Amino acid sequence: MRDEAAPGWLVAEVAEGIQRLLVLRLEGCPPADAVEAVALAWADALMLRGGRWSEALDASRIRRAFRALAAHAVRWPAPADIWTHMPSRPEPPRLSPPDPTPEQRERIRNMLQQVRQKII
Amino acid sequence: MRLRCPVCHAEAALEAWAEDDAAREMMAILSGLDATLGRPLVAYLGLWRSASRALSWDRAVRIAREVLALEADAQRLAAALSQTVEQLRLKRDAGDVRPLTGHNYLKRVLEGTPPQASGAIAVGQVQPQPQRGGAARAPSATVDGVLRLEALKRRARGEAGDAG
Repeated sequence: MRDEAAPGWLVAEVAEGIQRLLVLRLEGCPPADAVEAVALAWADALMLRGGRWSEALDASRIRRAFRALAAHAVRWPAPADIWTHMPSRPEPPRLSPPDPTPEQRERIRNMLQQVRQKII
Repeated sequence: MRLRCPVCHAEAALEAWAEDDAAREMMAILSGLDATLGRPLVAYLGLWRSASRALSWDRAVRIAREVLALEADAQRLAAALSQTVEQLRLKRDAGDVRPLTGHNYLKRVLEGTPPQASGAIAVGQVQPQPQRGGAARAPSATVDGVLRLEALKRRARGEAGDAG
């Protein structure tokens, strides 16, 4: 269980997502005087389940997830529903495959030679 | 007293409209929107009505929610809705009176609509408009909630700045 409080940027992103849901007036939406508590509870739920959040990597993911959630929700969602729409983190650029070692080159050459002999 | 919607032609007694959950919900959605978005949205809903049947409130609410979820920039959405309504009305005038069955046309128009840079307001950031004539009016529960969340966002970003 992660006990640290949600960072400010995460609370702000969640508050914006809750705003988006609130204006849709979905069935079961919370009363106006409870929306701040709802947003903080959502941010806490994301902290608990989401692992280490990084503003640079995750702010746009959270925004896109709330956008998709708003597009699909037919009643007020639970925090768990956001994960259905959370896009993956962008993959870091991959390293190019390492060059084969001299032993591997020799082995490949032998295999090709064997194949050639079998065909011819 | 019976009222008839000038757009979708649904007709019912005023009391029935007030008692219908979906009708109330539709009113709540429209009352939370800026007029520049609300008007083209209502006109767009009218395009979903068939020639022989009125549009049910349940369906209108569902369609309105789907439309509002398409785009966060309220002004961009309003511009795309207006253009869609105008073009589809021209088609209707030309004899094609089939009702809409999906948002594909609107989505295509949205793709071609540039972001409304100057004074763009996101759907989640609608501010209450001051009343003409100075008559004070309490904001709706939705607007009140949006403003509370706006304050929370500012506080949260401020705390993040202090921590960093």
